[in-house]
Amino acid sequence: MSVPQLRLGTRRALWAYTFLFVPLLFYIAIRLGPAFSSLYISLHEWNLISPSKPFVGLQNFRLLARDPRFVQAAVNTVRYVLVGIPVQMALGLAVAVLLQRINRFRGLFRALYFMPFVTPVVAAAWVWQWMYSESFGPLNEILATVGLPLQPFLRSPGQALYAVAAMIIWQYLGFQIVIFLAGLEAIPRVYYEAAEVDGASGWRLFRHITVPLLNPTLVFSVVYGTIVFLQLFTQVLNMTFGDQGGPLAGTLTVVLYVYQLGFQRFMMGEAAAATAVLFVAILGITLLQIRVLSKPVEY
Amino acid sequence: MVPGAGVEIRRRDPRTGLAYLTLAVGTVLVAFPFYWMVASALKPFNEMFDLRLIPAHPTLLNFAEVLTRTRFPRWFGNSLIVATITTVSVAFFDSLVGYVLAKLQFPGRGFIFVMILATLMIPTEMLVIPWYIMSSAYGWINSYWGIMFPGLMSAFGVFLIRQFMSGVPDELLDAGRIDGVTEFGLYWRIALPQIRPALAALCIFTFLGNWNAFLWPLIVIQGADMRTLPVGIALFSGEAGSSWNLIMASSALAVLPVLAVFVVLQRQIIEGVTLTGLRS
Amino acid sequence: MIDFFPGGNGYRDAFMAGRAGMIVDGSFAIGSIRAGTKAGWGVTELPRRTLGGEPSNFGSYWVHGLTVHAQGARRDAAIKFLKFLTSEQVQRLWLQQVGELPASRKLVNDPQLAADALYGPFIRGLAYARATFFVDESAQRQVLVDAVNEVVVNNKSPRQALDEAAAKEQKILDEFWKKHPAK
Repeated sequence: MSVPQLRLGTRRALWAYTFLFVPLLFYIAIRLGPAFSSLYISLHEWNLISPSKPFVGLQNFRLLARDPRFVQAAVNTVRYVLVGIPVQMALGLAVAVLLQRINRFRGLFRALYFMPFVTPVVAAAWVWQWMYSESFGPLNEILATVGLPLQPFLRSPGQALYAVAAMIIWQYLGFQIVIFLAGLEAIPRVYYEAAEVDGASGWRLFRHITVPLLNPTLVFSVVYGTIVFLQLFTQVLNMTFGDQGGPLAGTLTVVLYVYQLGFQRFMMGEAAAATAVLFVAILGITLLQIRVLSKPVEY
Repeated sequence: MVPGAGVEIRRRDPRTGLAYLTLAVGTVLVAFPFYWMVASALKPFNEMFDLRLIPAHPTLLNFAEVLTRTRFPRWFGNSLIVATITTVSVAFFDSLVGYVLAKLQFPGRGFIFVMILATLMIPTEMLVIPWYIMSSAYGWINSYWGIMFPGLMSAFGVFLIRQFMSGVPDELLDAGRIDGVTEFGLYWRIALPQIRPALAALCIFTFLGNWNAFLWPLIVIQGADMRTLPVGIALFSGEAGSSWNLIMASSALAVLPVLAVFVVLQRQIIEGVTLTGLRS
Repeated sequence: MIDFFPGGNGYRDAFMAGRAGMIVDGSFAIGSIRAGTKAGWGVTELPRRTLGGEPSNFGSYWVHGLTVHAQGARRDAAIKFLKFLTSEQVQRLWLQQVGELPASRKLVNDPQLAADALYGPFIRGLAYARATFFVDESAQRQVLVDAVNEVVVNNKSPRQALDEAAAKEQKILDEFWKKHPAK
């Protein structure tokens, strides 16, 4: 009896590995292998054109730490997260709560807010670049009409980052709303009813029932948004196409700088080192999420 | 409390009216860039800098110019090819791997799952440099294969499908085995139809993701003929100077088909976000 | 650089639209300016800093080269193609069709071209033009773009911005030559 059973098990394992053969090859050759190879490259002076690629230890990381453009890119990236996440979540949650209040047109509103999320990013970025134009853009035209001073937006090193962040918030708002709506609908109505019986209402219901019970959704939203902002590239490159990451590196992100280092200046070693820094940041945030989410939620 | 009472109270609440108003204002703000894009695309060049909200002399010439003067149709076709093939590949391989990891018992299963899951943490940016070196060594630069190969499978899809496959009852598969269904048939004919909504969501997001992909295509594409739509639009717009009528027309040509698909598949797409978002 | 019109060539578009009276541009712009400008316009050499001072001009050019990877039959074919591209006949066609200065000494010394109202000043400027060997073009370009922005956006004095740009540029050059000693 045990012999055919073993054969059955072996046969099934054989089938499993037959099915997994091509995918395993893919994940090893296209994902894991290149990740290690990237770390390897980061320890070498790796100019695409020059034939010699000497081992230099941690020199690329030291060069990055002393490179004002990289430091600026890293600081900017953190600023994008710190500005973008709170605004994006507050707006997303507010719209989701409002959508829950209404009975008619809920689907229509939800779809309209969701449109930017499915819109091709590059096309949207160019539309926004034009909207922000200093002397020929509709936003400044509106400001002028209501008698406010014109703003340089993308032409100002101080404002440009916020202008780009606004476009990304616009793009991801619908996604956040849908996630929050699902989270809100999962909260049992009895909690609200019980609290209403106790005389609580409005803000207190939101503060003491909605927010705590929405916690897993909030954590997901923070982590998802943070990873999006940490990998910012397409929007910045297209909205500041003439001086990518400018003006005066005011919108530069880590990924855009990686692209410039690696594919415009061919310094693959430094570029790979910068991606390793990014990898550590994303890994840290993901692990933090797992820790926070694995804590049991106490009602 | 009577179940209907709460609804009754809310309907009379004046704050509900305020909610509608706020949402409507928000919608106008969200939709404005779309309106601006279409309105500007319909303006002749000499009206571009008037900043009128409604074109005085609307024209379709900008669209005609983009379609004939640039290789827009070709870029559109390239994106269609790349996004379709990657979506089919992801749907097939991810669902197969998800099925195997959820439903077959074999040594090394846990290890393989963790290994695939671990690749989720690697950001694309970290991989583009080795991919580029690899592509230039094997002559993949500026080819469809070069654009597509990194996206042929997705660890996220495996993770998602595996979760849904776990919900497929074992009895169903065992019944199939007794009926003499092959191992591949068990996956293809019995398990796969059970997880259709998840598979549909995965397909939609894979297609959108590849349709919009920018960083890797920008790196690997070198000739104007191989550009995908995002790369084509970016480089065309960069060269168009201040011909914003043409830039807006090309943007509109890229955006409107996607929005049309969205209107048709709206429910599935939004439910797909809920489905996939909450699972991850 | 300056947002006359949005877009990378806003300054040129502003000139073509009659919104800017004078721009500094390259000979490569002649074709599009000729096609798009309604008002009368002309070309002259760059001014000197002081009356009778030293004239200076910047000459940039594309180089068609052979890489070390080109060998054998491909190399021969490439050389043949380059010879064809630089032949007088092709360069004349280039000038007529594209409107850019030809990369041919014979044509540039052509008296008819030197007397041309549009091309003449560019050709006279070539006599004192300097070309730069870019060791890291994208970084060197960024230095100058940033310097202009420091003046336009941050109100830094042009003198200070230029001095800082020169120092940054020198650093890029020094690092390159330290790594690649001239043969």
